[in-house]
Amino acid sequence: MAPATVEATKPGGIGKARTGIAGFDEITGGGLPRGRATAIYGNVGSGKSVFAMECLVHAAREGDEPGVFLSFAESEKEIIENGESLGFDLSALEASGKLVIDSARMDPGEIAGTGGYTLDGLLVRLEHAIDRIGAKRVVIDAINVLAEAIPHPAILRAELRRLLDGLKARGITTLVTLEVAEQSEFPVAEYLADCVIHLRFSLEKGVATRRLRVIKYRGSSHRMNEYAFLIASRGITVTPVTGVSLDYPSPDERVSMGIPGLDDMLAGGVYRGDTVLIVGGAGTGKTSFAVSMADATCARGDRCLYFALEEAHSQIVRNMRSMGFDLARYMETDLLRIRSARPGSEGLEPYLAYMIEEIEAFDPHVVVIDPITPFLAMGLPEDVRGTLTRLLGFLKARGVTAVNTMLSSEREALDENTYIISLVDDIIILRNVELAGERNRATSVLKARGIAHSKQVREFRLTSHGVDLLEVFTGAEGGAVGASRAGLEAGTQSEETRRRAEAQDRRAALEATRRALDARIEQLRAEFAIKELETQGLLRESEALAARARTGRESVREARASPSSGDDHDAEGS
Amino acid sequence: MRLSSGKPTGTESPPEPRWEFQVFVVGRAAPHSQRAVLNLQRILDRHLRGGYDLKVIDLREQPELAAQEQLIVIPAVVRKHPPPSVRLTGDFSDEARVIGAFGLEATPTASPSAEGKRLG
Repeated sequence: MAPATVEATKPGGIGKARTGIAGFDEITGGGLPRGRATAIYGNVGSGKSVFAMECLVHAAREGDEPGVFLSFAESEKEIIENGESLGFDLSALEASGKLVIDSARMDPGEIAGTGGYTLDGLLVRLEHAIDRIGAKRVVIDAINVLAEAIPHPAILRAELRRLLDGLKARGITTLVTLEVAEQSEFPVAEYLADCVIHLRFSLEKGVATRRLRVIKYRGSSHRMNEYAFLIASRGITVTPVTGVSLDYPSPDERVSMGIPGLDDMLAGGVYRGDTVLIVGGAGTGKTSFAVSMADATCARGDRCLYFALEEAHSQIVRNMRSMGFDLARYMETDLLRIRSARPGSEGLEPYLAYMIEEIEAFDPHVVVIDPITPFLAMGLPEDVRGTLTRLLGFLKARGVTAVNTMLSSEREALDENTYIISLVDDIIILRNVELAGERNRATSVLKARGIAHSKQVREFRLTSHGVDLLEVFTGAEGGAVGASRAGLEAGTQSEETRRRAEAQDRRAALEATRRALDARIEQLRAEFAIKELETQGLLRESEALAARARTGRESVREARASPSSGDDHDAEGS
Repeated sequence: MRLSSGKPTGTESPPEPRWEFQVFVVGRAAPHSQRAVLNLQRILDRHLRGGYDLKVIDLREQPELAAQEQLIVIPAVVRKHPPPSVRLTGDFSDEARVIGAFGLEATPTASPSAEGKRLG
């Protein structure tokens, strides 16, 4: 997928002037056409001036090629301030004779006449600045402002040609920037310049994106693709999606993941510079794995930069202390930096710029991004993909081992984010395993490029001394976890044992059910007994009443039936 | 270099502020330069009877002035006095524009009117 590297200079071809802009020199096979003119056009905010400025500064600082920056859009003060925001001390460069900053003003109505004028004032002005410092490069920024002030297109065209030819004759590498969205708005640039670059700034779904394309490069091959680029606080970074990012060294050295069992599964750890993805659902221990790696990195004296996108660093330090990780110690000695920041609403690109800046400032051996998941929801899928590709490519190109966690089920990761799978070298799967009424954690290595890794699923525990992988158990039904595992380890490890244990579990459950049922029966019985007693009481009462009533009635009847009813004693006595 | 030092019309006129112009060219002998200077002189002669100074400066001789004087388009003429500084570029074939820009019209021989501030 990587096209052959563009030749820097063909025999008899044109020379290249390095821009020093990360990625750009690779796209163009060495930079801008040396001693010739390049036009950069683009809409507002696309980074034309920054691009031009950076070309000059790198050449002045590192290449010993002084430069002249003449702007039609900004004052000297503004230019210097712009430089400062990119970390360029333009005043110092000016003072040391490596840079001339000039600001040109044009009043649209100042040309009075039907013609008969030239741009010799500009040429003399530039030539004077060039001679003063022995400049090799010239930037004419916002030349469209000049063009707008010149009412005669024919004169403009002829004069620009004369100007650029004049600079070319002096062997100057010239850059002109044009603030036009479309090349057709200023077609002059196309035939005046040997190289034409288009920069584009756009907001897509609220995400700021800048893209660069080399439209034309006379006398040289170049890559035609459109490349996304960043303006970080240290300048522009262009990272082509294909090609360049694959030209990195592949060290044989392995690095520990900080979990002995996992290192064993990986036959000694991952390769230095690998991109590792740890995939798992909620609560599967992704951060614990990532921190293990961070801890191991610092323990061997390497630097680790930890981007915590969802937790405060204090929270991570506290939580991980309970697992025996003393992260604070490494933070004090600056082996570990934890950067807690959520990507803001401004989108992925600024966050990426921030990350790249932090990485460049710290130069870590290992970078952790925990988790990478928020990125996936930001912006258009193809942009997210491009951005991630660039980020991971950037890390890889620097030889940084990258550990990314991803909140996702294994299936989701494999089905929906397949491009991530192809971007990373190693994938470690974490998951919850529910078995025999217990929840346990298990890990496996799904993929490890160039490593004969274990295919086993291993149970692990988060203990007070870190992540602990248990010895793998391989029985008739594969790995066992938790209580079933404990049963197996204690017993004969046979299927029979497992069944017996299962039957035992079932009997226990049945017994419990029976006991509960018994209890309910007992209660019902008690209730019945009470009811019974009450009922019996009532019955007795009513019987007594009935008996008394009967007795009364009988005596009346008897009295009426007997003639000698008046004398009880007689009757009774008879 | 003083091409013309004006033509005082009479000793009776009160001392007036001198009109001072600088014309910037690249190469005095260049056709553009010569035509522009001639056009300018013709207009000034007609409208500034009280006299004026016109200095022609070749940027080839003093290139540092290009940046100092904010020059891009050449030839350019700058009214140095009276203030404010007014600049006009081209070949000055458009007389009305020159008159308007430098405030020559209203009072041909007097100091410039406020409208001369145009194009500051």
